[in-house]
Amino acid sequence: MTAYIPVLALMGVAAAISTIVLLLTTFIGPHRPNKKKMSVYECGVPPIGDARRRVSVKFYLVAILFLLFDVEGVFFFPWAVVYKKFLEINAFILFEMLFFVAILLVGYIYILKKGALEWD
Amino acid sequence: MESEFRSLALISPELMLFATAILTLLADISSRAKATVRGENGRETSSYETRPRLVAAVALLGMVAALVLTLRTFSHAPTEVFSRALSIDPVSQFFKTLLIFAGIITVMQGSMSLEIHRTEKAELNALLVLGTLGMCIMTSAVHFLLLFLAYEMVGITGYVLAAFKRRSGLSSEAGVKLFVHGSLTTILFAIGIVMLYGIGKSFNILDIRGQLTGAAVPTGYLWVAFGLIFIALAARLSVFPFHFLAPDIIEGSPSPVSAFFSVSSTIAAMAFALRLCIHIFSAKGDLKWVHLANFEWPDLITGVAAVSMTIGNLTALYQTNLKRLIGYSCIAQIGYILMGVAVSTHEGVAAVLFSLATYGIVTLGTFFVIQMVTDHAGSEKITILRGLVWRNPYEGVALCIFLLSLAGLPPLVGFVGRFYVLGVVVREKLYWLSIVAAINWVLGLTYYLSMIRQICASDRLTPGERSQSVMEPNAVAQFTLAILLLPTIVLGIYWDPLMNYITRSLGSVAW
Repeated sequence: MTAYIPVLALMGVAAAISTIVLLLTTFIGPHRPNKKKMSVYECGVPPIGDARRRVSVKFYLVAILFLLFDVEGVFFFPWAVVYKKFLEINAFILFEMLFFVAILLVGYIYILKKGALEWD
Repeated sequence: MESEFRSLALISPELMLFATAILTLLADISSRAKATVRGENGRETSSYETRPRLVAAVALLGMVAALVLTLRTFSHAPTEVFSRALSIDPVSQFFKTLLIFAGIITVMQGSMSLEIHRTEKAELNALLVLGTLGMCIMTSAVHFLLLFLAYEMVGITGYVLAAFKRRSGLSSEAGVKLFVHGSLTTILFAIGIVMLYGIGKSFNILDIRGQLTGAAVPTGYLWVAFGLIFIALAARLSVFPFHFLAPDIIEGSPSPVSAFFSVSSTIAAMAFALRLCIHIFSAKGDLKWVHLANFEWPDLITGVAAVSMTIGNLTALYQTNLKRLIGYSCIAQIGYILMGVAVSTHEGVAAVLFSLATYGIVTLGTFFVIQMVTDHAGSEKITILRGLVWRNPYEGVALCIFLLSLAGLPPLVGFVGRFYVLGVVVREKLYWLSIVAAINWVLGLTYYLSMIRQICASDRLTPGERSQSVMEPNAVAQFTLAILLLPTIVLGIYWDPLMNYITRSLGSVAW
């Protein structure tokens, strides 16, 4: 049971911080509401209207590329956790990650050269 | 450090394939010259010049290097590397040789294809190489996590490859169908793995088998676990309950990808089938693999084999689209080969490996010629083959030979494989199955011969058409065709070396 105390503590801290921030903004923050501000938040798109609007396909490409590199970044976390332990044996783990980053770099150069990040 | 480097040497073919994929992409962007590209909407955009020839050369050279590296480790004594995650043994190297060979031919097809725009060749070739890489890992993996990753790697490249002809509705349809279906089978596969983990307390295939021999596991539990993994497998093999997708995909995808799906994907899936049925659920006996824990999995496999060859052949009779017809005939062919897995004697498994190799070579050849014809004719109707043997004699005769081999007529290699499989089925006294197979042999002849009749037809051609060739193939294409024709004929007459090799390697693995 004692093993779960840090988890409970983390949940408690998270709940406390979000409550405090919400309360602070409610009481201290300036209130100048207007019609736009009070409308439903929908990521910059009008919330009510025809769902079949046209969105520039470039958004889609940028989003995909962002997600790709974002997900690759996740692989660094498990690596970082075991890094110290494995480094004591040999430097193989360091080179493995450098290799991985090099491959990501190739992908980056490829999309740059293919013009995927050019807006026009 | 030492042992890791030694392990790296053993997976050198996979590393080479990976380097090839990266270099193929880099070769594509190596040019500094600017070029204007006219898009579909007629707008001109400036972009870098692509280099389709360099791309093809890099991809092919890399694949050939990978093939050479595989041949170097061909008869390596069975070894497990990377914490017992990968098994390098003669059987896995045999599968890898087949897969990389198929990869070389499909990359060649991709480079020649007129369906693929020159700016997209690099991506197609890189994806084909990556797909082959995933399959190579799949044939070697003896750890379920790695097997799962490899399965996904093949799946994801497959989704993109199937939808590669972006402007074609059929191709997009194939991609989306494959994606939806693939995601579902992946989930079921994962649940199956977890169930086996529940028995073995390990993801390692050998550990799981060790547990299966010892503990008394309820048969119902085993059936569910086996069934779930079998679904993932059957979807890739395109056998009976999951065959309906394969013809759509083979018809919709660009021709090189069709060949890739019907050959490479199937070979990898069959390696996986052997891993599942023989390696996990059976133990090696004197003459045959004995089923563990009284779990009679061959009942399922024989049923699936019988139904898929019958359905494949019957449906193929009504097809008018060339690629779709070959798609259905592939279902039937895999049904035949699966009989050998079901029998699971040593001879039966050897027959599976042999007929898989021959199936691969012959189907690649068929798709190679079909791609040349459909690309030039701009249609995929069977009637475009009419009079091919008069108009392009070399390609026409080659296609006839491939089709006769698929139909299983001597003295071609298809006959030998089929004879071996049918032989073991009869020897195991599965008479009903052998009768079904024999009837299917005849059914298959019907449509293969009707295609050959089209190819040889001269009556409906005007003299002008007859002298005019359908296409002007280049020397490289004709050379590749010769590479595929040679084993089709030679192995049909003198198959002993290949069969002996297969028997020896099966004897050496510790399954």
